Amino acid sequence: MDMFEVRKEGLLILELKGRLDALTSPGVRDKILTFLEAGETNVLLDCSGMDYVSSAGLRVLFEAAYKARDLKGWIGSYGVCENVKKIFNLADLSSELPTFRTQEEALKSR
Amino acid sequence: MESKDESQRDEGMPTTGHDDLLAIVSSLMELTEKISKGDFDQAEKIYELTREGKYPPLILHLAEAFGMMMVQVEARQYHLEQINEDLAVKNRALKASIEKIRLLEIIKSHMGKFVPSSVLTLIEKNPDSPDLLKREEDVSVVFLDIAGYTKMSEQLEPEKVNTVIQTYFSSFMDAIFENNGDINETAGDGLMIIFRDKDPAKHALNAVQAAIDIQNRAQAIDVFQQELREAIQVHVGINSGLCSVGSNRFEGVTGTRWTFTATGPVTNTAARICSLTSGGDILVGADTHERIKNHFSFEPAGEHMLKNISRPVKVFKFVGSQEKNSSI
Repeated sequence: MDMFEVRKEGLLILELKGRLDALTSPGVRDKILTFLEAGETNVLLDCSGMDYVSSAGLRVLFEAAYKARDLKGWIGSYGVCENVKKIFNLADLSSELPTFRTQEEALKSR
Repeated sequence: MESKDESQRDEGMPTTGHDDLLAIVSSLMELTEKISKGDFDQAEKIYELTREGKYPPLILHLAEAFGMMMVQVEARQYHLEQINEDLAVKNRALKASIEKIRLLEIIKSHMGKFVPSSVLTLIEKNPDSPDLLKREEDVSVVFLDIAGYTKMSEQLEPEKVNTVIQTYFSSFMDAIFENNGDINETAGDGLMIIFRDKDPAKHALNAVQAAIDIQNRAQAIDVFQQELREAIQVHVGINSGLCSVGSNRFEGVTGTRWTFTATGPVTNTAARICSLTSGGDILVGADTHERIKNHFSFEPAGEHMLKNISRPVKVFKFVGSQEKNSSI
């Protein structure tokens, strides 16, 4: 999985590309937690390039959302494909990590 | 969990033998058993088994299913912890509120000793802006004094005089409140009590009934009677009619003081009627008498010119201790 960072309107936007599974999730976890602990606690995940998420990946997203909340921050996501959205919904991740259709929508909600 | 054949991992789908498969399933069972007993540290090993290409699809799907269960259990656990934290915060706020209420109740009970209950009720009804403005209201006003207070002050030590006054007034409190009266002023040996009700006959009836109850209670008290040359008697004067009822505001250099009272000719007349009494009488003005004459026995006690009142005032004296059987 590739991960790119962009900053926009006070938010850190992390582009996730590829599969978020047992193999890639440890690296993603470390990066997100590092940003959060460094004080960048408002994060938007660009999931438009993420085509699969496994239970291990889901666990990392939950952990990041909880961590952000503990730090009085916020994590949202946008561009989630249908397959991934099904998994998000199955685990009720949306209650912890708001999901938006587009980046504009996500930025507008802030 | 380690794969037995490192070379298989890089070549795509592993070709695991039956025994190997059984060993992995057995490990998976062991892991899930540990997790089910609360050993969540084993969770990482479950996710390790979900690595694509490292284990056979059967194991991968099984581990993925366990992994999803794990995620949901952990999410629910986090939710519960959050709810517990929220509840703890709310519980602390609730405890603080209860403590504030307790303090307010204590303050209220102390204030109740000094503030008329009608004022407390007005404040309770509308704490932000209590309706204390003066307005015309039909009320009955009772003036009561302990006869021979001056003489008693000469015959008894000051502490004993205080004891007498406190004993008498304390015994009157219940009679006043049972009949919906509100003590408005206390001054040395006297009390001013206001009786309010939407029904003008009802507050007059309550005022007279309270006066009768007070007299009965006063007769039962014998504190320091042996040291006093004359028996203590309670005089009561009652008058009913329209008064200006509400707050009076007095502004001085040292501050502002508010009182809640009934003022006007009806109140003045009640005070003057009280000054006419002797021998523990209950005297009422004509307006009060008119309202309660079917309930109690009264006899005319003459017409009197009273200080600062231009016309003569008809007064009636209570003579019957039995209430007449009649409705208002």
